[in-house]
Amino acid sequence: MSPRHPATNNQGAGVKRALRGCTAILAAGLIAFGAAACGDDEEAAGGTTGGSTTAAPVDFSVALLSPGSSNDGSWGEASYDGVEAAATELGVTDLGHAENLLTPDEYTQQGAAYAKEGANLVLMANGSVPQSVIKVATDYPDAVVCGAAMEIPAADLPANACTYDPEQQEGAFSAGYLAALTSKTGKLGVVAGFAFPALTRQVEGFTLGARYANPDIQVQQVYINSWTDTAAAKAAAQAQYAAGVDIVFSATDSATQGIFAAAQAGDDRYVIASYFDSHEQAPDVVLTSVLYNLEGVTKEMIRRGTAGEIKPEGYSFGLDFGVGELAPFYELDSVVPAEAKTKLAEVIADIESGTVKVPDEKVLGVEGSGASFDLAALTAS
Amino acid sequence: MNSTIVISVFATGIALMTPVLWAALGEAIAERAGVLNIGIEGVMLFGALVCAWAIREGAGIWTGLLLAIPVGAVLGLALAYLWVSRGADQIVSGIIGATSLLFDEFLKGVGVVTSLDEISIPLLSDIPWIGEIVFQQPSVTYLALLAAPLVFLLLNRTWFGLYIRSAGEKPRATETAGLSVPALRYTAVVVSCVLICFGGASLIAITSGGFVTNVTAGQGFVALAIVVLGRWNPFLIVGGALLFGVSQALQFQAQSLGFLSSLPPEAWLSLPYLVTIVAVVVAKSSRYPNACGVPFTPAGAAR
Repeated sequence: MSPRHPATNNQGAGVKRALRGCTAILAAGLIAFGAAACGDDEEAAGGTTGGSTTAAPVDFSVALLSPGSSNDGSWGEASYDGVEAAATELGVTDLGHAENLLTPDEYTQQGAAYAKEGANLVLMANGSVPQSVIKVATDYPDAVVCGAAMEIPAADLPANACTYDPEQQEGAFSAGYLAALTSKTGKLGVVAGFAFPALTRQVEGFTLGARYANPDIQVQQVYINSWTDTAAAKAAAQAQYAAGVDIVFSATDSATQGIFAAAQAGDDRYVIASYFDSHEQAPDVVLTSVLYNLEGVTKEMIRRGTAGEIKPEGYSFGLDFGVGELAPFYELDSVVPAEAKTKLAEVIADIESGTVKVPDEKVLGVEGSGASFDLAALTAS
Repeated sequence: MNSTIVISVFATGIALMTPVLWAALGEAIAERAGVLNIGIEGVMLFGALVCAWAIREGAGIWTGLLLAIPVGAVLGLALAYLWVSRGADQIVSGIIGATSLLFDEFLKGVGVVTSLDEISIPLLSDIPWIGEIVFQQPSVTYLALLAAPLVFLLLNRTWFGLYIRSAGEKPRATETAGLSVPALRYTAVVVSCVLICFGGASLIAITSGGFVTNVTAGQGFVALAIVVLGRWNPFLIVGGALLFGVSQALQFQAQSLGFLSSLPPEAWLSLPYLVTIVAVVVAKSSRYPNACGVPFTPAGAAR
């Protein structure tokens, strides 16, 4: 099976055109003028949402709060694309998106501000702020507040709140499986953002998947405590490559660029990116990207919101919803052994059918679980 | 722990300190002249943005770096106008947000990752340990190390240096001696911002060639601390920056350090900041230039 390629990134061409139109403007610092002029150009060049048909407006507004930005080439951008797609295809109002929010109090304040403004649905795309979801939902009963990639016990979940969860460990597991079968050195690395359950499950899922392919594989894990610190990500990846790692799995956002740069500094070094098909950024080192179809998941949650289907519960989206697919290998296709491709396809089928049971966040959300989990339990019925 | 790891830690540390060193050297000049340039993080971000933009446009990494110089000068003039002419409170966090806005407009979407190659200095790079640590770095790192003695000479061995130091210590006396304190401070802030902006650009040049929101990750504020730690002396500032860079590099090797690998990652991540704080506390009491951060009103000027 060659992994399918979901349409996550189709904005390159239009932006390049827009950029060319502005080349002369920035240099002398004519900032406000330049920004306005380019904004217009971009619209004229076809915008970013592709050729979807525009739906009639409905009386439903959505606000998005995310730890990244709408242009981070990663998690934040994928979430934002989902809102944009919903605005075009479902006709909902995009009330705005608050970017680069990290702490619970930031989510609480911004979420409250949108709810006060009359948002029907407030999405908090950060797994580390369940308390903000609860707080805003409790304070603003007219809004529906949903948090991504988190778990809230049913007893604590207000009637107008929900969680939605891409089961990321499954995709990370298959990426780890592929990496272990592709690695020539028997050493893999992980460079991750912050250590919290929704992210740790990706790190540990990758580790477990690698062990499932090769029980003797070595996996080095580093958390850099940043989504954006490119220099830290580069240094972390450099250290791993220097120690003999040949494939690094990235679980951070735009800081990932630093990992690509570290891979480019040597031969036979590869990166498996996350959240967004990063092939264009570094075609010579990006082996594949784990795509969590966050755009589709976000859009689906908004659709359920408009239909009044959201109940106070946790919704999960797995491989069957396209969450955890791997992007194509593109020109690095020859790097992946044919046997690895066949086995990968089998494992993905096994996960989808339930023959292989990748543990959930309760297990893999704990640091070190990927290295210690009993491999036999994966296939136990 | 073997020699490879030690070399890797120090070599990475030197690379990591480069943008901070540029920024700290620039900041030292402004503070010596009596201006506390808090806009350092924003100016770095602008340098990073401009460099990334030039690279995206296909103009090459060096064009991006050089472009940061006039941009730094323009920002310096703008900030000097606020601080020197208007006597404004010296906090300009707004320009950080501006880079995010500009990024949205100019650089949205993905770019191709690229970075400056390391240059091995012939002969010197063959020296065991030191050669591999110091002499296999990107060119902007060498330039930063060369800039330190130049800034030292500028501050301590030239008339200009003497004048701006007097403007930072006793501006009233400087004025009495027939010098224009505002003009000195303007010049110092412009030079300062050029170095800081170049530092921001160097961050892009040695990491990935691409801009991301808040890519500087607080390095401007670290530079502020390093200036105090280095007591406004460019040579000591190199030491302070190195301390920060190496302690940051150490965390990424923690896995290979045997017994140390059992420490929680948070401990490693906070290490550079703890080291900086401890160093500032332990260092002998340091004193800001007397008039640093104090707006100056020329005699006879109406307020």
